[in-house]
Amino acid sequence: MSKWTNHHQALLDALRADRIGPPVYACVADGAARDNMSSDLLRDWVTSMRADPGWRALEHVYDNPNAFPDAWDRATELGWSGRTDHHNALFFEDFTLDHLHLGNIERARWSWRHCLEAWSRCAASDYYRDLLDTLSDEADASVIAQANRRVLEPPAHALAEALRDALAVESGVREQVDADRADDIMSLVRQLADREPDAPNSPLQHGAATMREQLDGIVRELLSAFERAVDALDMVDDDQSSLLAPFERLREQFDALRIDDESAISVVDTTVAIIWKLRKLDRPDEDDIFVEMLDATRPFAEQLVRALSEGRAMGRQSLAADYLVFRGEQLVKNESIQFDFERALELCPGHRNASKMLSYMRLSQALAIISELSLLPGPIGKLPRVGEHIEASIHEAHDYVEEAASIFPTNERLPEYRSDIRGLADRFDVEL
Amino acid sequence: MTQEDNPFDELGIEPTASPERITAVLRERAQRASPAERERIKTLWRKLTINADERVRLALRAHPGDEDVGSRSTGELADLVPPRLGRLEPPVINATIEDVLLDDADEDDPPDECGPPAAFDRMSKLGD
Repeated sequence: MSKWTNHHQALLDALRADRIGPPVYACVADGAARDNMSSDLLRDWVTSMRADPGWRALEHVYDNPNAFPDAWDRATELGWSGRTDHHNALFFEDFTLDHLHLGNIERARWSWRHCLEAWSRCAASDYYRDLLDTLSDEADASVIAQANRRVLEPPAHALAEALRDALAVESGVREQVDADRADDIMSLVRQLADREPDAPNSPLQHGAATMREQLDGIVRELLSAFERAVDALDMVDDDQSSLLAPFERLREQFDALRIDDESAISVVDTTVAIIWKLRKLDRPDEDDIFVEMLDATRPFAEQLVRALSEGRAMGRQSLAADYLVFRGEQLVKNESIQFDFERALELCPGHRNASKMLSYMRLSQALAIISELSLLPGPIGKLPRVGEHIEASIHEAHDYVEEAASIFPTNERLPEYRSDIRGLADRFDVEL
Repeated sequence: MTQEDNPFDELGIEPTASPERITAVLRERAQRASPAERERIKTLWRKLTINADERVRLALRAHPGDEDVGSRSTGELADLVPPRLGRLEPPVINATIEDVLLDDADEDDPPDECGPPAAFDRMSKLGD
């Protein structure tokens, strides 16, 4: 009887892999399988997998779709070799993008997680080091390092392109922003861009940096498009919807994105500038326009205020205060108006418009009390509990007026209010 | 959504193959290819050999492979398995039973006529 040779083993491995490869590939791909997947690739993958601890979790269920994805998660916990993980990383990268294209976002996220983790493990393995050593026989060390840095460029670029499309970055290609799809894609983008630092100079480390650069590039494109659109507005003749269109589009586009300090400054600056211009024109519909514009750009203003309170964006305090005053002017009288004016003064002490508006707010609060008390007959102040209430209210109104005076001493309504309060104090025999 | 097609995967060449090895493999394939396929092979050859940056980057993004096994069919692999001796064809036998029985016979001393041993007679009697 002849001895068992490498050829026997190769034939046996090939037969097993050809039997196992297609079903296990189909189960892991779950609808994202390529019709023309090479049997050569599957053969090497399966042969490598079957020698790994992870195979124990798959050997009895590899052709049972109902066992996945849990079986694959368990198998991964048991462990894969560097060579298997190299296969896994490339397969799962394909699955991620195909599932995204098909709209299966949960499966896309799962596949992407496994892709990134496989790359991380593979790059840290002896197998990968040996691969780089072998490749270095025919290439300089700098070439190897550069190629290693670029390993994850293709999926990063693919996700960036998908995001550009969903956000309608280039108008004319797609008019409407697909906000839901943008959200889905951003969840994948963040899985890579926000990843915890990997080993220095690892493919994943550089892939994360590439993803962040791509994202920054998209943000810059959106802001440029916004500024061009605003510059093109005809503030005299354009109707309300045309004037608001760039702001509404910007809000849709940035719903999925994270707003950084630079974006916040740029948008708030553009918004404040255009509001100043529109105010000079005194359009009859300016209040409606301002409300919508300010509402659309509020997330940017909040980011700017946050940046200022954390010690960044220095020199932009006046800009932030201008925005908050504009917003305060437009909102219906409620606590939020006062909050905006107070915030504006905190950010930019002595801001003239914020001081003036807050001073008038205090006078308004005093007026509410004055109006109420003016309706009461004088003798009612003689009643014990009523008299105490009236006295407390007059003191409260007096405090509001004096606070208004301290905030904005040249408020021209101050003498009038002080006179009213003195009148009430005399009527109800209250000492100020 | 399409991912970049990797020439190493498409051609079934080991990613660690040297430019010389790649050239030799592709030259052989080009000789058997149609004109359109030959153009494709030329494009892939340039991609893999002219720019070392691109070749190494594609190598890192190619599936690991073993040219000796992966690209061969199971039939080709079976042909590599050494044959067992038992598979040899037996020689053609033209002898008869008589040849076997009389193989060592001496013509001057022919064997006795074949028949059952005496014990059979005794056994027959016992069986009565």
